Amino acid sequence: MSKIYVLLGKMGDLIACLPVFHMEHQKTGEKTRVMVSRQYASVFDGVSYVEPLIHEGPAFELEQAFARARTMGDAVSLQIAGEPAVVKKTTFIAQEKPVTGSFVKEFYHLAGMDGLWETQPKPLFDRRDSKRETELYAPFKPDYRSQWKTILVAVDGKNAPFPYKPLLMELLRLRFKSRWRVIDLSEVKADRIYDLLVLYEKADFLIASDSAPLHLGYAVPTLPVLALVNEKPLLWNGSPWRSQHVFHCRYSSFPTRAVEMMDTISNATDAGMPFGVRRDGVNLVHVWSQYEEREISSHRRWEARESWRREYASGLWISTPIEVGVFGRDTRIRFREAKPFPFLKDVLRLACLRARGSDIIVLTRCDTCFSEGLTRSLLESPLAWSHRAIFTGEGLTHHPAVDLFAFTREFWQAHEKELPDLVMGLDFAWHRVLVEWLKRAGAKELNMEVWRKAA
Amino acid sequence: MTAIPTVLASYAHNEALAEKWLKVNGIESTAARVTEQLPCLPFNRHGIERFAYNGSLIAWRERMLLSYRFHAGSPATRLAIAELDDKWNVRHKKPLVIDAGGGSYEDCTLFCRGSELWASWVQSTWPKSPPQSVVRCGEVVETKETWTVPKAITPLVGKNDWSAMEKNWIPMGDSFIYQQTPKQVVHQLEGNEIKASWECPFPHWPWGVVKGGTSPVPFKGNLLSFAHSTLDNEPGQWRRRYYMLAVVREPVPPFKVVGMSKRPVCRGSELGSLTQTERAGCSHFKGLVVFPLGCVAMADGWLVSVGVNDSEVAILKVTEEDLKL
Repeated sequence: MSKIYVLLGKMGDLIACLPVFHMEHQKTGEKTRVMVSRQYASVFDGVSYVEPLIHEGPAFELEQAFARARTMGDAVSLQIAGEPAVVKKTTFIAQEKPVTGSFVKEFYHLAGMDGLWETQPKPLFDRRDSKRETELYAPFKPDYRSQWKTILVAVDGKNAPFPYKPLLMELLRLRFKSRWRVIDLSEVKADRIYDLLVLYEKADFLIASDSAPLHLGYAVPTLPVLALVNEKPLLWNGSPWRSQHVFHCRYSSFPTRAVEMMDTISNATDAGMPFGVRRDGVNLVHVWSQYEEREISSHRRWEARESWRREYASGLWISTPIEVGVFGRDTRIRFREAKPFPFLKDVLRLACLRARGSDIIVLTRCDTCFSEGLTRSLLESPLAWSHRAIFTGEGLTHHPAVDLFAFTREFWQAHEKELPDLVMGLDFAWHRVLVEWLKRAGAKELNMEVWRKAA
Repeated sequence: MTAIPTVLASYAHNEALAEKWLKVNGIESTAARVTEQLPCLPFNRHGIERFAYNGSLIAWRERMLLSYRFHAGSPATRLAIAELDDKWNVRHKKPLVIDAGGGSYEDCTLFCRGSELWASWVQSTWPKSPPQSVVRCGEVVETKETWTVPKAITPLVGKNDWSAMEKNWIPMGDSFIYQQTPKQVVHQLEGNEIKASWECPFPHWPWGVVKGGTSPVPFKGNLLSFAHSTLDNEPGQWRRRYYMLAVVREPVPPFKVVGMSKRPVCRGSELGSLTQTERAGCSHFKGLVVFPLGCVAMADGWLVSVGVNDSEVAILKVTEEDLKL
């Protein structure tokens, strides 16, 4: 019996699952059958590889739809929205509870396609309607001045409403009004949601809350996305970080990070920003944790960033901060501690989403300064580590802590399983293990190539 | 009430995982044994007193001599000199008897002054607290049963008057390199008084304050010695790690430093060659120590005698490449 996926809605979940459906189609050579509520079935008009099986009732009638699907084939429910008892009976049959860090990753897991997530597949719309798109775009065309950049804003999701839209719009107006065009997508009437792709393809940024327009953004991988992500009832209920994200912020953090968001837009073309980097050779994906920033003086962080900029100017670096709240788990959730810290493997897996095959992942602290020439050293020795050096008036002094770890994405994928699931906190234990893990693979110690000022 | 320190659950989580991972992977130390970082001679430590350490090797009149310190059932240490044969076995050993007051005799360095064999050592009030010490020196004379220093002198330098802790001087003929970091100070002696002094800058060394070392030997028209440095920033049981480096100086006053290792030649480790049982029985064991005190030039490099973890003597073979100049 061929597989029938049950996912009645809503629109965002359906778009998020398109890569799964496409992969299933590629595996079987047949259209993937998806049971969907009529209310949301129109999204499948835009794809050739799905055969929608219409459920005439609303999206919450999962039990009935699942029972019907079972009479038609090998039913697999991907639906996680609905009455918990029903979701447990239909969707979480083989597992007690969610096992990934986000509901989107859970879709992939439930479909038995965990590995697909690592490729960051885009939702493929291969039956777009150019006539409708032309009509949709027409009102905006005259105002698209060549020297203006465009920000699309979609923060009106119903399921996970973003509570700070007025603040966001005011900040955008004050900061960008004179030079940028800000389009609120809630004011754009599209016949099909995917008709919006014509605007996405011509925009410079998408700001989206946890809703269908956010998931639609991943259909245009060249579009920088600033994601405002839900966190209730759990971090798991928010969309996961994707390599397209230049900013990823939980709703509750928005007031404190709003200015950072505006800066991200302003500085989007700076060296090190993901969309300004050439990807035709080996890149260095620089990853550091913003979780530890609150422990570090702003001056030390500023000094580090200045030194990064010098090396980023090589055009090879891709800056990848680990933003607070980006993962579905941290020490606040796992250990009920006051201060959250991420898990090391989550951090490095995230870096891998941005890195390609031979790219070098460079993990440092948020206040680690780069010495001049570090880029060259890492290109010569991609498997490397460096102790901390403390800068005083007299010069650098060795410190036993390790502040830089470098390895290729390929190396990580081959050896990830050897590492335990450590917390990337302020203790010595995790980097003691990480450096030994590198040493035994023959990593080179870089001498005094990273440093920081004395406290 | 005394507050009970709370260990964060995430720290405990990491500690447990790390300990298990390191054990499973056979990782016992943060650095390899000193004797694994560099080739070493097959010197049999069982030929000298148990847990003897801080050896100073010298080639003198066709003989290979090694001084060292050892505990004889007390915290204070004594000194002895062993003679080694051409296979590095201990041919014989005799105590170095110095009739110059009591206390603890420590860190003896053998050196040549003309054709005479001399020794300098640290004499301290240890285990009195706070300990005080002086550096003394004198010609070494061999008798049938002992080595002795009939005329020990106490140079009138710095606070070498039992009012402080003087140590880590490097003997250099009739002179001492009295201090290295932060600036180099060399005193030439006449008897026990200063005849001349020279000061010059000493380069910054990222692995801590440079102290003590081996009596210099000729090296490409200059002088080479091995020193140690320490940093007190290790996270584990032993807060202080010792590092060994090479220092090259001009052969004439002020003995300006013209070269220095760019990285440590070797570093102290938690491990030595002691078995676990031996280590448990060695009350003065101190991890992370490498302490060079003697250097003999060979055709293809140098033999450097070092103390390891206050419990062993090792003789390392160092090549020019190992100097990391």
